[in-house]
Amino acid sequence: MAQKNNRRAKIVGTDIEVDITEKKDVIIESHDEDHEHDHHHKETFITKYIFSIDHKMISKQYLITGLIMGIVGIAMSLLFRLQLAWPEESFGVFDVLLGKWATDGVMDPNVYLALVTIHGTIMVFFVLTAGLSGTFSNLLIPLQIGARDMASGFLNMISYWLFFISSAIMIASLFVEAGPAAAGWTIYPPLSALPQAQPGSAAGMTLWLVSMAFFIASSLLAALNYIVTVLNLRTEGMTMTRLPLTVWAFLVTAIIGVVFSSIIICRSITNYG
Amino acid sequence: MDRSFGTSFFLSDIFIQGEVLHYQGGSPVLFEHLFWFLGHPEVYIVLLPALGIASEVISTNARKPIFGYRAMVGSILAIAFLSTIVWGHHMFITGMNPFLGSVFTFTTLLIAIPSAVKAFNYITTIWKGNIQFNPGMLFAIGLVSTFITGGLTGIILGDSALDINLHDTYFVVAHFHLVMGISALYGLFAGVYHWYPRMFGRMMNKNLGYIHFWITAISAYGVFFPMHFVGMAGLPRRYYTNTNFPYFDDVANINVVITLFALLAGAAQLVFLYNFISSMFYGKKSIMNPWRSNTLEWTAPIKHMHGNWPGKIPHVFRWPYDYSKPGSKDDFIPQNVPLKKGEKELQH
Repeated sequence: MAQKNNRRAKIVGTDIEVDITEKKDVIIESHDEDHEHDHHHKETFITKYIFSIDHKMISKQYLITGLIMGIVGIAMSLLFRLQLAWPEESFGVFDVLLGKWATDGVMDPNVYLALVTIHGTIMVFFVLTAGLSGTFSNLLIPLQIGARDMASGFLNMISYWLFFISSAIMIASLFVEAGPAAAGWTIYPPLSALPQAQPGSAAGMTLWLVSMAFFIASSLLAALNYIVTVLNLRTEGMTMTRLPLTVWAFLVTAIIGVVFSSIIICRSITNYG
Repeated sequence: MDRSFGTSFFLSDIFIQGEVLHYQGGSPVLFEHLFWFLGHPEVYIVLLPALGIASEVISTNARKPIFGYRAMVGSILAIAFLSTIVWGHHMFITGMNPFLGSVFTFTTLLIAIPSAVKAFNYITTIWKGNIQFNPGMLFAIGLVSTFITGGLTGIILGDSALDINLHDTYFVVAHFHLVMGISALYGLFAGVYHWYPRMFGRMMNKNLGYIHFWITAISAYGVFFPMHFVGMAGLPRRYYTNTNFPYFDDVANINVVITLFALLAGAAQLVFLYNFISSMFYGKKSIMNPWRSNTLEWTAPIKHMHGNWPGKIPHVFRWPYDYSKPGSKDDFIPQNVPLKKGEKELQH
């Protein structure tokens, strides 16, 4: 988001003034008395609702995507709970939803493992990591620290769309011929490392790994954005000891995310290649 | 690379259907170390934002300053640090040296200290507050409840000796679902109910929120409380069926009860979804600061605009938890209200 009218602005918390004439996607807060922001760019449907760089819209995108993934994840848990309560009974809902993996309405053991695996993956990563942190970090960090947006609205948009691609790949993995990954959400080898280990170890596992690579790229970009925003864009008077505890939690979460994202990327690569 | 290029990072001496594969020298335990070195901090990546949301929602709706602000910040930092040195407690039964197991037990149990600080501070914040029992607050209180009940069983599982019996049983499933899954979900719901007016400019239906909370809360405990006993009976997780083991016949009926509560919990989420979607269009229009909260987001106009505030960004003069401050006319003072002459900022 660009500030067109200002030529110089003061970095919050310092006496440093910088020239922002050429800044196109960085917001530096200014408290000059005559300052007026030109934030009312003409928006199209696409720029407002789809490829938005506004943190509030991106938070809604995270929330709605997270909720949709949550519906899928919870529905899966209900299916395998039915199997656990009434083992190998025939259910019409299995017939409808699982198709060839539920002959005569009886759940196949391989798809049971796949449901447990994808349920765990979706709930841990897609709902409770991206859906929760993505939604509220995006919504609240700029608003609660007194910033006009994230440090980079563009990176923020990229982060959401990588998350969306990751979600789409994970959902797509449910429909591959041999079935989705079924090694548990911890995907221990050899079930994850040997394509011939079980049906879900083939294309389903490959898609799981690709999906997670996109997911971590998304998380990494988002976390870097959150950290930079909290550290650099706080409004005047917003010292660290005046930060709401929400922002403290989001900041520390982002730091953990940056540090440990590299580990899961490394693991995915060594496992997949 | 193990899958596609024949490397042996995580594989060694594998036989499949009588065929000896070429892998040698790798170790699946290396994978487990890598996984849990990320995997345990991931628990806090999930949980910390929910705890942050709870802090805000509880303080606002108790109409009291958050108890022990600096202790809360310190606890967040301590939890984050400790989360990086406890991963081995997921691997007690991998053949780990028992001494190393005792080290991981020690570091794991240390996390109970900052966690308890947070739990007690939530309770102390609520204590004698003018509590507003709206759905957001109920879910935040629910989070504190599941954080405590799920956390307590973590002390058992963090013990390398006790874990031998309970590892990979439904006891573990019950523990992490309560402390991480349900707590974080409650944080998510608390956040949605609390900030929905800020996101969509409308209020969610309160009565549907109450229905959602109470059915979810009862059924969540209905699912996971008995699951502890199923786990203590030795029932392993991830088994397709337990009917092949007469030893587990005694817990078969408990599994039916758990599933019935799970179905009830699933149905409650339909109430939430209906409320979430219908309130976007038909919900009562929100005023700018419906919860009489102190933080800056409630000073920004509801109307969608880039830049959040027209004109100048508000300055901040005080911490965000000036609720029921003695001498103040209102029971809240937003952060952008300057200190009055002679007024001192609370030493938090």
